[in-house]
Amino acid sequence: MTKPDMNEPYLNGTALRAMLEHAVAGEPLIGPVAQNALLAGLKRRRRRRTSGIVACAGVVAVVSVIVPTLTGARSTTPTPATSAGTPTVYVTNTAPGGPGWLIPISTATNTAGPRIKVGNSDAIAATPNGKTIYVLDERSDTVIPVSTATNTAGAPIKVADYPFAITITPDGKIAYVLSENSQLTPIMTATNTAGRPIAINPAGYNLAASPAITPDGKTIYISPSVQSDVLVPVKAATDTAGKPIRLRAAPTVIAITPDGKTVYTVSEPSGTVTPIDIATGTAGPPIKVGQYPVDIAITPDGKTAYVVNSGSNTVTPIDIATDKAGPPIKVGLSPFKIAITPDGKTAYVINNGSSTVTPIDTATNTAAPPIKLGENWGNPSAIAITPDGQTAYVVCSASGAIIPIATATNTAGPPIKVGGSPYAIVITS
Amino acid sequence: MTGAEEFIEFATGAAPRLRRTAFLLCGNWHTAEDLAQTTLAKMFVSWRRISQRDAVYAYADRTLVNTYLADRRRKRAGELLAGWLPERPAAPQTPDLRIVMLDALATLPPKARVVVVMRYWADLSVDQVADLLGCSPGNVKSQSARALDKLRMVLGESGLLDQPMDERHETRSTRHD
Repeated sequence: MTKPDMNEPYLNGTALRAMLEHAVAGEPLIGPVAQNALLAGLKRRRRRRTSGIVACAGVVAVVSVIVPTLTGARSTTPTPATSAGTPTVYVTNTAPGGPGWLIPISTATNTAGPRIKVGNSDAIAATPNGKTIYVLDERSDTVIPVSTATNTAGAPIKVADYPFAITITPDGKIAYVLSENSQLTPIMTATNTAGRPIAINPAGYNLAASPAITPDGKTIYISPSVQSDVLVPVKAATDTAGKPIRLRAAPTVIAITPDGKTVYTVSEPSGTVTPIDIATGTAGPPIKVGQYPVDIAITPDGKTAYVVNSGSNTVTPIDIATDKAGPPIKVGLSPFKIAITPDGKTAYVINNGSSTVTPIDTATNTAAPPIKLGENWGNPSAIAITPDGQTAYVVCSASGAIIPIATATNTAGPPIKVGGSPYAIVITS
Repeated sequence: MTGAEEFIEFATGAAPRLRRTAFLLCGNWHTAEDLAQTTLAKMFVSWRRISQRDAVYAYADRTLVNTYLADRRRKRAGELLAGWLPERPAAPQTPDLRIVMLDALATLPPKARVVVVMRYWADLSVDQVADLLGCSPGNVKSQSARALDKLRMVLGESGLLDQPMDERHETRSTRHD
C-alpha cells in the first residue's frame, strides 16, 4: 500500500470495511416467521420448477468461470502509420476528487504536461495519424475527442448507452465504440459525428474484449457476450452485423493477423485460443494454452501469436502457420498484458503480481531476467511501446506512476509520477 | 439428520449473512432477499452433492455472486439501470453514511462491486475473490485499487471522509475546476 496523498481523502480497507458494516445496519428485522416463510418458499419453488432450477444450477457452475477480465484489453493502441515529430504518451487517469483526466507525457523529456479534463473511463484510442485521441465517458454515454495538436478536448459525441471499448479503423476514418447495451456506434473521425448504432446479436456484453478490425477495415469482429460461444462479424460497408460464427468457447480477447487472414480469439474461462479463417468464416479446433489467458499479441511478421496466461504465470507462443502451441515460457506472477516492439524482436510482458516486466526474445522464445519496476511502483496494468521501439511505457495503476523502460538496455528509468489512478495508455506518432 | 434437515440448518444459519452480502451487492433489501432466496434455492436442488464438500459457505458466496452478476447482466442488457439505484428515504437532511455508502457502491460496475464487497466485507482473500470470479489475482488487485479510488472520489465529494480533517476540504474543492 502506498502512502496516501494528504490532499486526498483517505480510505483504506479497514475504514471501508467499517463503512460497509454500517451500510448493512439498517437491515429490516427478519424473525423466525419470515425465516420459515423463506424456507417454505424454497420448497414451493422446488416443486414448481425443479427442472428449471437444475438446469439453472448447471449453468451457474459454468458461469462461475466465465466472468471476463474487466480490467484487461479495454483500450487499443493502433500502430501509428507514420512517425512525424516527437511521439507523445497519453494516459487516462481518474484522480480522486475530480473527473477523469488525460495526461500527456512528452517522450523527449519524460515529463507530464498539463492534464486535460475528459470523461471517467479506461478506454481510449488514437487515430493512426496521431491527431486525435478518443476517450470514452461511461457516465455521460459520450466520447470525447482530444486534439493532440493543442491538447484540448472537443465537444462530447453522444453514443449508445454505457460505452466501454473503442477501436479505430486502420485508415483512421471511423472509430467504432462498443456499448454495454449491445450497440456499436460508428464515429466519423473527419467530422466527429456519430452514425446510427448497429445492433449486435446475441445481446449481452463482454467487457474484456475490444472489437478487432481487419487490416483492410472491412470487417469488425465483436465478442457479444461471455455467455455465448460466438463471434459476430460486422460489415463496415453496410454497417450491419453478420451471422454469428459459432465457437467452442466464449471469446474474451480478439486479435487479427497482419495479413488479415485469421482471427484469433482467446477464451479466458476455457484456457484456449481459437483460430477463425476470415475468408470462410469457419473456426478451427481450439488450441490449448495456459490457465486464464488474458491477452494476445501477434508479431508484425505475422508468424507467431503470444498468449499471456495469467493463471499459470506463463506465455504460450503459437506458430501461426501450423496453429500449434509451443512450450510455455515462464514469466512473473499474474502476467497481464503483452506488447511487441515494432521490429518484432522483443515481446514485453507486464507481471501485475510481481511488479516486474519480462522481456521475451521472439527469435528463441526465451525470457530475459525480469525488469524490476522499483519498490513502490508496482502493479503494472498497461504497456505501450514508442513507434521507434526505443521505449516501453508501463502504467502502474496502484502507485500512480508511468515507468519508461529503455528497450536497448532493458532498464527502468525514474518513474513519471502522475498521481491518482492512471490506467489506459496510447502513444501517438 | 436427513439431507433436508441438514439443509434447513445450513440455510437458517447462512441466510442472514447471504442477505447482507446480497444487499451490499444490489443496494436494496427487497432484491437482496430475492438474491439470497434464489441462492439457497439453487443450493437446495443440488444439496446432496454440495453437502459433500467442505466449503459449503464458499459455495454459497459463489452462487450468490453469480446470481447477482447474471441478474445484473440481464437487467443491463434491457437497459434498466434506474431499477438498480439504491432505495433511500426521500430527501435526507444530513448526509447519512449508510446512504452515501450505498450511492458510492452504486457507482461501481457490477464486478468491481463484487470485488469490494467480497474482499472488504466478506473478508475473502485476493486469491479467493479471483477464484470466485474466475479471473487472475492480479486482476482482482487492480480492480480493488480502482474501486477504492472511485469510492474515495465519490465519498470525498460527499464530504464524509473530510469529517476528521476539515482543512482538507478547501484543498480538494480547488481541484474541481
